[in-house]
Amino acid sequence: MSSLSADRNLPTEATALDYVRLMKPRVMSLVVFTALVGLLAAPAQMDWVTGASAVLAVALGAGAAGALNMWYDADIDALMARTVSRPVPAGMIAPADAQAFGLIVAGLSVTLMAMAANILAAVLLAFSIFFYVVIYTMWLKRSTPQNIVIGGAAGAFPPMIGWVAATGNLSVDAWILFGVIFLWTPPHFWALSLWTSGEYQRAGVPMLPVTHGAAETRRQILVYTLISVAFGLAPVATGLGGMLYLAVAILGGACFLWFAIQVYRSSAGSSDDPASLKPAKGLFGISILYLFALFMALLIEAVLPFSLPVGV
Amino acid sequence: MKDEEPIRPMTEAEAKARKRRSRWTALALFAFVILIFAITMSRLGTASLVGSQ
Repeated sequence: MSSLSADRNLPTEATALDYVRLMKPRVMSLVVFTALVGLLAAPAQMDWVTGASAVLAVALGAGAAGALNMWYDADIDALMARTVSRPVPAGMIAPADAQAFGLIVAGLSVTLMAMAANILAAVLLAFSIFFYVVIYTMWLKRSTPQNIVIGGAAGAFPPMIGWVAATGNLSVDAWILFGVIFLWTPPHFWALSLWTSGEYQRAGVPMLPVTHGAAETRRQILVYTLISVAFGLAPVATGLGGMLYLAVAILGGACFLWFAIQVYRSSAGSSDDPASLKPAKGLFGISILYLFALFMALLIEAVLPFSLPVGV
Repeated sequence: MKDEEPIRPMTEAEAKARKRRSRWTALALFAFVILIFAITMSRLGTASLVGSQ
C-alpha cells in the first residue's frame, strides 16, 4: 500500500488495529497509569463505574491527541526511521481519516469525562488535548528547541485530571503530581534525542541537540535531572507520599542522577561511535523506570492499608 | 475546474477490511451506549442515596 492511495482517500485495507496504533497505545498506557494513580491517591471516594469511566475518558483523550498528532506530523514522520511505519505515513490510514477519528474520539472523551466525573475534569482533559495538538504539535515542536520543556506539560496533565475527577478541585497535591512529570520530561526526551538528532535534523525539527549541540544537551539533561529528582521529594512534604514513596524517590532519584552524570561525562551525540550512546540509552530506560516507580509507590500507599506517613 | 478522478472499485481485501472496521465501529458505539447507561444508573443511585439521608 503506497502513501499515495491514502493521500487521495482511496479505500485502504486498514484494520481496527491500525486505528489502535494511531492512538499511540504505549504512551496511552503510561497516561492511564498516572491518571489512575492521581485518581486513587486523591482524598475522595468514587464508585468503580465512575472511576473506570474517568480513566477510560483520559485514555481516549490521550489516544485522540495521539491520532491528531500523527495526522499533523505525517510529513515529518515519513522522514524518520522511528516513525515511518506509523499508520498515516505508511499509507494505511488517510490523513483526513486520522484527523476525523482524532476529533471524534476527543469529543467523546471529554463528553464521557463530564458525564462520569465533573466539568472541571472535562475542561482539563479538553485543554490537555488542545495543548498537545495545537500548542506542542502545531506550534512549539517545529519552532523552538524548548518544545519538549513547554510541551511536556501535555503529558503532565493526566494525574492532575485523575485527581480532579475524584475530588472536583485542584489542590496543591494535584499540582505537585503535574510538576513531577513536567520536570521529568526534558531529560527523558533529550536522552532519546541524543541518538535520534540526525533524524530530527533531516525532518527540520529543532530539537536541542540539533540547535545547540550534543554537549549543551548533555549539560541540560544533568540540570533538569537534578531539578526533577529534587522535586520528586515534594509529595513527601505535603504528606501525599509516605515512607515507601520517600525510599523510592531517594533510591530511584540517585539512580536517575547517576545515569545523567554518566551521560554528561560521555560523548553521546558527539561521537560516531555507537558505543558512546550507551549511557544515553541507559538514561532513557532508567527515566521510565524512575517515573513508574514513583507513581507505583503512590499507588501502593493509596491502596494498601500498611503505608506509613513520614515522621511516624 | 478540478478534474474528477475516476473511482476505482474496491478490491476484495479492501471490502473485507471495511466490513471488519464497520463491525468494530458498531461494537465500540454499542459499548459507549452501555457505558453511558451504567454511568447514569450509578449517578441516579448516588443521588437517591444522598436524597434519602
